Amino acid sequence: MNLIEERVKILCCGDSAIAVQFGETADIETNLMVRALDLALKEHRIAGIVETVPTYRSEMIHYDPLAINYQKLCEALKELMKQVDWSSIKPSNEVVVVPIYYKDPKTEVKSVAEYEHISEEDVIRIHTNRYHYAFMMGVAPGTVYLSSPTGSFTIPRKSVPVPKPYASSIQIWSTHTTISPFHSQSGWHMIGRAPAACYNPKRPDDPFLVTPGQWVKFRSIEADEFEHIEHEFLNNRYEREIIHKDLSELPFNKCS
Amino acid sequence: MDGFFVNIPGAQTSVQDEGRFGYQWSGMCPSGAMDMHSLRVANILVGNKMNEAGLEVTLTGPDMTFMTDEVIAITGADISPMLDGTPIPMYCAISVKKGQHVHFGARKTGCRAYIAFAGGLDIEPMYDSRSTWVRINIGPIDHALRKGDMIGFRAPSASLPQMAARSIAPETIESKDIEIRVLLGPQDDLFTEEGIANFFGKDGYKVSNLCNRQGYRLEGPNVELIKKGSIVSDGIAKGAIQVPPSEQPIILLSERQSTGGYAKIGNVISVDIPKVGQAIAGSRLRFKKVSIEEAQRLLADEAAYLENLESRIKEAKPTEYRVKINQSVYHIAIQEMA
Repeated sequence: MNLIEERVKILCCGDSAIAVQFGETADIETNLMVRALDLALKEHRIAGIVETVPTYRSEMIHYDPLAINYQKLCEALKELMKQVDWSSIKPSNEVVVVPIYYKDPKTEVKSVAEYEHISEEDVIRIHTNRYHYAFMMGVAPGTVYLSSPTGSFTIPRKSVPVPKPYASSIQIWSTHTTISPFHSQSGWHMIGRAPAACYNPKRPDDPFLVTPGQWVKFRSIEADEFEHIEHEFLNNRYEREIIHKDLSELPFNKCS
Repeated sequence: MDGFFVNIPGAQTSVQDEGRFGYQWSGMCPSGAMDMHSLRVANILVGNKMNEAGLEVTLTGPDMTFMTDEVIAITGADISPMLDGTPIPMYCAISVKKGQHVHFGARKTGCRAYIAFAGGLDIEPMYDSRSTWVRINIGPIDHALRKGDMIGFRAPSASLPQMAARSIAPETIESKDIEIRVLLGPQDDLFTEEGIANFFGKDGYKVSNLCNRQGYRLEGPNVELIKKGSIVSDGIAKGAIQVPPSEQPIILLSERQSTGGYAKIGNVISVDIPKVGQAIAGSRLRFKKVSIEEAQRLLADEAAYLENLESRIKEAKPTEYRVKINQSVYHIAIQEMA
């Protein structure tokens, strides 16, 4: 019995979905296993699988039980997982540079700074100098869930969700950051505006600013650059900036 | 111009098919009809593919003027459908003439009615589906219908062969007291024994006013968690029953978020999801535990039922007579066209 079989749990999620869970925590090592299974399922299709949804620590598999029943799907997955070379999984070295306007008067940078006992400039400095790993997407198209493996803030979520003032906002709690393309309501703290939305329906073949597995580095911009990039984005002329880093420079081996 | 014109949209009338699959990884919810069974039956009655897009009508109906002759069928909730002021039968193909109004009256049972149009609606699919994600305005028609909207027909028919055979006995749509079968998991181990017993208790749960295409919030005995809080977000299947720290369950439906961070005690089985979609605020849902084998067998039965209905209607034959007139024998077939 290898290590993988010991840590994997197959969970029943109704009669048309299962989740293959690799652990209880949201860390990059676990997430890379999820991504490896997702990739394996794309390369070795199992008939009856409708779609897969990789999340922090588990892979949800939506299937058609008329094409493959629960028992047979579980067996096929166990067989497939024996073939996967888990040790070869490497994280991406792609870093998407995401411009953010932190100084908009409606952001909550001030309340985050007060909670953390640091200055507003420190909030921006900390948020922009970390590498954030993209664990998954969910909730709305392009909404990406990021976390900084080297820490950032400690502030918890608000106990009551509140509507956000902008459609394309950047929100945080603790080490987590999300970019939401739509008007949303959440308990996260809104610390900036993203001039280029993380979902661009005008580019159906490449609609997302950041995809899971990539890294994100935020860049602080001023009001005039915000307006410029927003204008470029709305006219479908914005090209995102992607840099390639040496893996040794990225904090993937640190626990998140 | 082919199609229909919306004079009055109704509370929430939207274009829905089976939904949008293959994009949940990116946060795109499948959307789709809340009661796929009723939409499929309506499509079969007008000779469409089962998963063709139709209109989902919620609580109060639209008033539409037809600009083309077209055959429709209405199924699901009984919202007193009418043609130019005259009640029309449900679960039955109906010929609508150019200039006529299809409209609705008082709601009698259920929450959602479905209108299928022979040949389908003339809408270019977006990400493989014609469904509208009503909550955040995504879809080829990116909103619930509004006054003044016009939607075309792809291949309208003034009549279909065997009109008389395109009808079944109206199905019973329960919206007061509904038994819903549930599979435990994926996080039933995070609940106390008492919490699970409460969930399957005989009094069941009342549907609160917070019920829509995204989800139904329920009110009733607490589904007690061993430890209140959230879990590491994972995927959400259609019909998932999540329990936030309030310990009052929420059933997640067509416009559910693709991922979420509350523990899920169980999942409504596929064949009972349409029944939830027909519940309204105040309906009582009682949960019953079933096995995965039973759930998947029931789903196979449902598929067989729909296939049988489809072939029965397709293969319906005209009434035939052998008539002898002045030594000659004639073979006469009679079929009702409208």
